Amino acid sequence: MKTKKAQIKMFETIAVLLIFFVLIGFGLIFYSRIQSQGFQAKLDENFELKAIQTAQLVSFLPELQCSSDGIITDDCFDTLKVEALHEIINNPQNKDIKNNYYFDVFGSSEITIEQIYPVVDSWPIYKKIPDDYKAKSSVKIPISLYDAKKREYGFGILNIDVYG
Amino acid sequence: MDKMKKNKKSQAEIVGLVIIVLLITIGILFIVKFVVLKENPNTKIDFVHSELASNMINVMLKTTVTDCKRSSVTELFKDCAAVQSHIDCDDDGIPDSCEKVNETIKIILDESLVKWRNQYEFRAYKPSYKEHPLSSYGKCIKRGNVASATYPIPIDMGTLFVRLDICS
Repeated sequence: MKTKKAQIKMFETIAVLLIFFVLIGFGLIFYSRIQSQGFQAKLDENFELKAIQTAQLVSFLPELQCSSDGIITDDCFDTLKVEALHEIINNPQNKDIKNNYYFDVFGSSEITIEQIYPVVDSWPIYKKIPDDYKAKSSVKIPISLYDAKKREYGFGILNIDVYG
Repeated sequence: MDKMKKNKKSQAEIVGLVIIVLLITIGILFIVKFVVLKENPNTKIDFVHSELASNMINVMLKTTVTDCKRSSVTELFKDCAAVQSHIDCDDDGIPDSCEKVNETIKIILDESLVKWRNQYEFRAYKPSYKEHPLSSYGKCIKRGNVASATYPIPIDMGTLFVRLDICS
């Protein structure tokens, strides 16, 4: 009789332990799922930050910025410089500059400058899209486009698409 | 004596059970609060909207209105807000700085914020005549997260404020 009672007690303990481990297992699965989601969110955020970083970098590029007597005007691109950079980067003879120097600066991205006022115009500056990209992030920043020949400021948009 | 001992034992078991249930509940609440209900940081959206609002006004005010004696938007706003306007873009003897500045702003906003389907509110107003702005475009239906930029323009009698709200 005493052996039967002890056996029941033992089964009870085993059942409690089993339930305990099952609960811990569920907890661990839940925690790992949440952690992996958090990790993915962090990766996405870093990718978005990369797009912002590229946008900031292009905004302050000396090859494009307006300047007068060495004084730089914020949020302004000189259209003569824009045209020159467009020609340099997209010239097949300067493939090395595009693939080495500018790839280090811009990475896998597409940069276009659009003018929407007074006339609609567009200058594709840089384009390097990987064949197997998984994510794309776009940033649009309004900029002044200074026409040094006419001494006029136009309204433009800096379009940046970053691929990851 | 034996009955009392048994009663005490079951009481202790119930207390143990209550503690376990409490611990599990606190754990679940903790997970819900800090993991499930955690708001994702919208770093990019926050940056883009604040940059968009300030750059948009900054660039817009600097823009040269080509068919109005190469005046800038700021100059046209100043003239429009003056007691007596004098800029006559089409030389017909009637000052039209208000018309021209509104026309230019509409083109710029239509080609940018409207095209990108951003909700916005653009206003150019004198503080004393806030109800009758010189220029007013767009309307924010939902004012959840608003990125704003305000630029003051000194005019003959006081200050003209140009404000852009971008809502999301």
